[in-house]
Amino acid sequence: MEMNSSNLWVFIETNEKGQAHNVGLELLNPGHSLSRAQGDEVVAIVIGQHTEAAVASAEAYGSDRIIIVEGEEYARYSTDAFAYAFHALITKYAPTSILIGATDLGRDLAPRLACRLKTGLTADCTELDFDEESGNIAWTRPAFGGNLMARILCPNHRPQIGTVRPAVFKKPEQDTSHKAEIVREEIHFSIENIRTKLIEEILDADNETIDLEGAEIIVSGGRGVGGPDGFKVIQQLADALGGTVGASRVAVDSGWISSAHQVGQTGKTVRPRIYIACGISGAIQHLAAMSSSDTIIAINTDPEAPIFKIADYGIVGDLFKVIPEFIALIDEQILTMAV
Amino acid sequence: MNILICVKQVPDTTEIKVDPVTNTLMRAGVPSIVNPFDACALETAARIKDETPDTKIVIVSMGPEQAKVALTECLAVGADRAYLISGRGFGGSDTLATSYILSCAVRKLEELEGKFDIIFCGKQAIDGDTAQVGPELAEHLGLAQVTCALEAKTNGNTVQVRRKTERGSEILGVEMPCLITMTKTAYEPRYASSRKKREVAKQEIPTLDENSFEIDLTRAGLKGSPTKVKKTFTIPQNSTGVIFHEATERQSTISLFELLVKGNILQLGVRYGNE
Amino acid sequence: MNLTNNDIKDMTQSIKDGDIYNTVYNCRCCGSCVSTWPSGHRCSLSTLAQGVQINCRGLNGVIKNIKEGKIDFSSELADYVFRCVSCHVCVENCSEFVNPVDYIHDIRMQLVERGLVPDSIMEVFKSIDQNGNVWGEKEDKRVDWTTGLNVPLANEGAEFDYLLFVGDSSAYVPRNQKTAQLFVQILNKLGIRFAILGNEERSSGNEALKMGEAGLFEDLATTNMESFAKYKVKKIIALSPHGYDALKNEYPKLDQNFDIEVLHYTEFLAKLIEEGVLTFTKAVNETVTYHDPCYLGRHNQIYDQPRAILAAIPGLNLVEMDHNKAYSICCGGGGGGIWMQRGEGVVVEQLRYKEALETGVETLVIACPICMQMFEGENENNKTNPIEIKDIIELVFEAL
Repeated sequence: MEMNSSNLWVFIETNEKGQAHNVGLELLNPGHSLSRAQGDEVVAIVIGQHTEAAVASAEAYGSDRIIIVEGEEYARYSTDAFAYAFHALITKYAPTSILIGATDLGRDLAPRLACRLKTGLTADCTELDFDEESGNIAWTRPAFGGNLMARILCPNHRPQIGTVRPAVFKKPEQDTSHKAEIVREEIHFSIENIRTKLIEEILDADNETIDLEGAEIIVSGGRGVGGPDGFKVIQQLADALGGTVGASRVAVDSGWISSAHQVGQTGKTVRPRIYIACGISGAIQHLAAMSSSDTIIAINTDPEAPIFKIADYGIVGDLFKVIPEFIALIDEQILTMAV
Repeated sequence: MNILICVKQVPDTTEIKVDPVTNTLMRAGVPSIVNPFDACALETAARIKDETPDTKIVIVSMGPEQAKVALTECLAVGADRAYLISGRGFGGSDTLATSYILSCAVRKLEELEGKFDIIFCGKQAIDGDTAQVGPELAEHLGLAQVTCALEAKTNGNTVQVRRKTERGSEILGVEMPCLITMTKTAYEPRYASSRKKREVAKQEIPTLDENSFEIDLTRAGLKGSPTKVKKTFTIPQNSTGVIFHEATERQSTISLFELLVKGNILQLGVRYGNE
Repeated sequence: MNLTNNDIKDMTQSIKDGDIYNTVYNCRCCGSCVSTWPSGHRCSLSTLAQGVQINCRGLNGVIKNIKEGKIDFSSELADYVFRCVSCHVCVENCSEFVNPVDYIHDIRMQLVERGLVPDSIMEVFKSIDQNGNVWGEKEDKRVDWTTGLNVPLANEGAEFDYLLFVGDSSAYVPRNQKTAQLFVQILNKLGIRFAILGNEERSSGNEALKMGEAGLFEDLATTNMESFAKYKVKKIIALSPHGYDALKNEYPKLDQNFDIEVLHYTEFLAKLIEEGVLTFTKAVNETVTYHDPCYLGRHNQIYDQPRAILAAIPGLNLVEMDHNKAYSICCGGGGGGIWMQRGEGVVVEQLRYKEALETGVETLVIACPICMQMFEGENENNKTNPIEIKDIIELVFEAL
C-alpha cells in the first residue's frame, strides 16, 4: 500500500430499503473540512444491492466521488461480505482516512476491517480535527464513561480509521445540483461463504416511532420520575411541546420505560434544539450524550445536581409541580394567541 | 462443549467523579468490578452449560495481578478454569495490540484446554468503551463474529444468536467455532455469594506471560499499537445557566417560562404539541 | 428473576427432600396466621396471583404441592419469597408450629448460593461486601455523625464498660444519626463509660443473614467478634433491634465462647430507671402510641421495657394501638423488606401507619431505626396530615 495515498473516505451506511443512514451523510461534513485541510477529495463508499437512493443522497450532500459496490450478497449487512468488499476497495485505492458511523453496523465492521489492515481505529469520536503538527487526523473520544476525553493520533499507519456517533455532526447543506464522479466496482463475495445466516428478524413495536437523534425537542426523565406512572407526566409535557420522550439509564434499567428512549453513553447521543431534563441528576454518561443540545433546561429538587452545571436554564423544585404549571402556561399562551 | 470468555476488570465508571477544582478523575476508592457486559457473557455461557451439562467454561483476562479478583468472582458463578495474561511487554497496548496478544494466548489455551467452540466477549468494556477487541480478536483468529448479542443458544453445531439492531433484533445462525460479543442481557448475571467466593479462593489461577506462548512482541504493547494517545483531558463544567429557586414551583415556572419566551426559545404564536 | 431449567429442577428437588419443609403438612388452613389482622390479608407476602390472594398460609399450600410433585419451583416463586419481612406474626399465631419464616429463609439461602438474588438486594450485598454497610456509604464516613460530640473510640484506648454498637442505619441515615447523637449525650450526662468501634464497626449482618447471604453474615460477624475480643468487650448496647438480634442470638451460634452481655438500648435505659440512676426532671406533655418493632417484640419478647421507659416520663400519655405487643403489625422494613418491592393489595407498612393515625395521638413512638425510616417514608406520602415520629431516645432526652 502506498503511504502517500490521499483521499478521505466516508462510509455511507444504508438500510434495507437502500436509503442512506443519516450518520453517513453527517460525516460528509467533517469529511469536507478534514480533506480540505489536506488538499484531498471526499469519497463516499456505498455498498448494497440497490444503491440509487443512497448514492443520490451522498451526491447531494457534497461527495466529490462515490465508489459503488453492488450485488445481491450485499442486500443485508453481513460482517463477512462487507468486510471483504470494503477491504478490497481499500487495497485497490489506498485511502488516507476512513470515517464510519458508530452504529451497531459500523461498530461491527470497522474493527474487523482495521484488524485486517493492521491499522489503528478510534471508536465513537465526538470531535475530529486536523493535527497540523503531525499531519494526522486528531480523533477525540470519551473514555471512562465520558469522564475523560482522549485525543488520539494514528501516526504511522494508513488508512487512519475512526467511527463517529450519530448526531455528533450536522449534515452539510443539501445541494441537489451538485455532481459527483461515480465509480462502480465489481467485487463479489459468495453468499454461501457468509457464515452468519439470518433466521428471523424481530422489529421493535415502538422503535420506529422514536427518533431521538432527529428530535427537535426532547423531554427526558430520570430517577426523580420515580416510576412508570411518572413518565406519563413526562409524556404530557413532550406532547404539549411536540417533543419526544427520553430517559436516563437509571429509568431504563429500572424498567420504567423501554431502552429505545435511553439517552446516554450506552444509549443515544442527541442534539435537539431544546432538551428538558426532569429529575435527572446528570451522571457524566448522560451529560456526554446530550450536552451539545442548543438549549438545556433542568428540573431537579437537588440544587447541587451536576445537571445544573451544564443547564442553560433550570428550576430547583419538584418536577411533578413544575411540569403541570408549565403545561398550563403553554395552554394559556395558545389560548391567548387564539383570541 | 468448550467455551472461552474474555473478561476485563474495570473501575466502576458510574462511581468515578471529576474533581471540580483540578478537573481530573478521582479514581481513589472507586471499586473494581467485572466489566458488566462480560458478566452477561458469563451468564449466557452458564445458561448454555445448563442445557449442555458437559460444557467447560474457561475464563481469560489480560491485566495486572489484581485482576485475579475478577477471575475469582467468575469462578464463583460457574466458570471452571481461569487464566490471567500478564506481562511487561503487554502494557500500553491499544485494541489492535490487545487483540493480537489475546489471539496468541487463545492459541496457547487451546493447547491446554482443547479447541474452543465459542469465544464470548462483552460488547465493550465500560472504561474504554471501544467495542473493538471482540471483532479484532475474531479477525486475528479467522472466526465468524456476531456482535451486540442479547441471547445465544446452541443447537447442534450452530449457535443461534439474537442480536440487537437499530430496528429491533435479528436471530442469526452461525456455525461453531465463532466469536460472540454480548450486550446487556434480559437476565441478570448471577450474584457471587461469599461462600462460593470462599470455596473458589483456593483454586489456582495460572498466569501466562510473554514467555508462556508464541508471540511477536513488536506487535504488542505501546510499540505494537498504531494509535497513540496524544493527550487526555476533562471537560470543565462551569455553571452559567439561569437557575430559578423561588418560594414555590409555580413562581419558578412562571419566571422560567417568561424568560424562554423572551429569549425566543419558545416562540410566541407557535402552536406546540400534537393534538 | 429468570431461573434456568436446572435452577428450577434443583430447587424443586431440595424442597421435596428438605425436612424443614415438612411442617407445611401441619397446616390445617385454619387462617390463624393472618387472623389477628383487622380485615383481609395483611401478610407482607400478600399478593394477587391469578385472582387469588396469596400469603404465608397460601405458601404452605404451594410448598405442599411442590413436595407432592404437582407443581415445580418457579421464577415467580423466587421473587415471591423475597417479599417476606420476617415479622414472625404467622409463627406467633400458629398453633401447629408451622414456621414459614424458617423455610422461606432456607429457600432464600439456596437461591443466594445459586446466585439468584433480586437486583435491589444484590446492590445491598455488594455494598456490604465493599463498604461494610448496607447503605452504599463509604467505610470511613461511619463516624461522621459523632462530629462535635464526646464519643470515645475503642481503638483510641478509651476505658469503657459498655460498647455502643451503633449499626448502619444510625451511623449513616441522617434522621437516625440525630437519635444516635442524643443517645450519646444521654450516656455522657449519666456518666456511663462507653465507647464505639468507629470505622472498625461492620454491619451487624442481620440484614445479610435474613436475606439469605449466610456467608456474608459469617464474614461480618467474624470481623465484629474479632473487634470485640481485641477491645475486651464485656457488655454491648445496641441501638437497633436488628443488630441486637444478630449479636444476641446469631453470633453465639458461630462462636460458642461468645460471652458478651448484649442489651437493646430500651433494656439498658429501663434498667437505669429501675435502679434510680436515670430520673426525669421535665414533663413531656404528649399523647403517644408505641409501635413494637418485630425484632424487639416477637423475635425477642421485649415488650415491657419500652413501655416502662414511657411510663416513667412525666406527662406522657400512652395510647395503645389495637394491634400491639405480640400482635403488632410490622413496619414492613425487616428481613430486607425495606429494599423489596411489594405485591398487589394492602401493603403492611401502610396498614400499620393508618392504625397509628387512627389512634388520634400526636406522636408515633418507635425504638428501631428501620421503623423510623419506614414510617418517615409513609409521612412523605401523607404530607397533608403527617404524624410526628419519635424514637424513645428523643423523648428521654426531652425529659432529662
